Amino acid sequence: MGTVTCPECWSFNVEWDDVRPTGTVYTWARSHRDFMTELDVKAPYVTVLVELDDVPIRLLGILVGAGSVAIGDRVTGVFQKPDNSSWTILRWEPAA
Amino acid sequence: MTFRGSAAVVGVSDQHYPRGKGPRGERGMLVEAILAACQEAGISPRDVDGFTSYAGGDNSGPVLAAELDIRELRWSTMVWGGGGGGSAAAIVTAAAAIASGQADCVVAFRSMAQVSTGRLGYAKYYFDHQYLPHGISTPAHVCALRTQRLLEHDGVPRSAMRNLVLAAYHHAQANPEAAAYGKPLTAKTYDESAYIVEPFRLYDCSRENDGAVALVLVSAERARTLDVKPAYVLGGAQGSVGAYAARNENDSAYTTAGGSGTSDSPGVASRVWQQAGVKASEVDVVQVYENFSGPAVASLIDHGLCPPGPAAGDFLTLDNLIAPNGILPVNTSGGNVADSFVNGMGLAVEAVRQIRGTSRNQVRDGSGADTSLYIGGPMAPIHSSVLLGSEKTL
Repeated sequence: MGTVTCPECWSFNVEWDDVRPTGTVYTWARSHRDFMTELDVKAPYVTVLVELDDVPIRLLGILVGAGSVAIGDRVTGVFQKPDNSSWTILRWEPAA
Repeated sequence: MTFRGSAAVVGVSDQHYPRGKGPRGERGMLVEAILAACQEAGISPRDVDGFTSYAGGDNSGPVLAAELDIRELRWSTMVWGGGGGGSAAAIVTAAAAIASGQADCVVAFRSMAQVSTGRLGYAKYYFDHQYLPHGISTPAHVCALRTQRLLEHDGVPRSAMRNLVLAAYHHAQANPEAAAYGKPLTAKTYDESAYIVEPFRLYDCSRENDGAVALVLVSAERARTLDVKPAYVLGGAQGSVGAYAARNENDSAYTTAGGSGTSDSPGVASRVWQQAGVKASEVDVVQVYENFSGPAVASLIDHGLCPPGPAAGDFLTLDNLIAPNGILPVNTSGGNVADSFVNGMGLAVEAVRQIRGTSRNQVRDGSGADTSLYIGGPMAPIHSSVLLGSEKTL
């Protein structure tokens, strides 16, 4: 599903840009079953879709360290590396 | 050449079983369904010259041509992308082939068996690395994200979802073939059922069945020579606007089902109404694909069958949604939640029954419906719907 070009100008010269890991909860869903045995987070867990502050892009991630969630909540991105993962994963926690 | 009224559904078969309990694998059940649909239409299976389907599977046109030993294969088309979102498109594609003279007799179908393709509860084959690390692994998850915003931001009340489910269960009580036949659902039981992926409770979720569904389409001229009441294809469309649901949750029409339009692109729903020359307010009965209740509510909104936002709750009352006298009778066989789920194609068969006057929850009893809409899978990367009509509407 990832794109190889910029869909706005069709350039193949895409590059990484630094943005602040801050944003607003656009929507969320709470999983009440462990659908994925390989996931280090156990149900119930909340996945948030976050609208970034710096660019008009929305990113998914599991919400950690929060009791409740609502659209419009301010969140900050954190990077976690689960024991069974070879990759670092973006997750979100309530903004300080 | 005009598409409207050029082709008609003249034979249907909907064979379903509890999941994992189908008497044959996908291909066996499918061949059985095609033979039954042809027999009902009074057409020799050897006359079939086209096949259309959606959501993948191994039973391609050439394979089925060999199974049935048809004379010539002229049309073999899979609707690309989006799972059940392409279900109505399979019917529309069959009709388009006939209307343009590419084929004479096309079968639109879907077959599913747990033994062949497993379950949808963990759709790892579909969700990629943009989703899986975040605990998003099923259709329930992606539909839950959109539905939560539909409820919390757009203000559609939860009662709209609940009443859609209660209407389906109400209808299933008159349908002995429905899984929920003899198992009525109360609002209290719905409200107390467990969450699966919030905001969806157990009863908001579709069933999964083994089964096969086939619809046989021929030209309007040929349909009139057969001993069945044709359900004419008045209009149909497939597609999406603005890369809906294919841009990793970054599309703009986020809380729609994928059938709405923009200022410069009409969208699936408008194209169907425009082709058919029918207004949303004029439709007699609707079968709306409910993978989950919330996305189905979004489909009704996209199609102009129900107002958006908080007003959706005022309109989507149980009384309004049930046949025969509701303003908008929906899912009159019980739908995916209370009848059966073969990737939603059973709903298309019920749409045909409403035109024929043979539904267990018939609207306009005695004459049958004049207009009957089937809306395909919502909140998927492709969306589609098809409007069927009686002879009177031509």
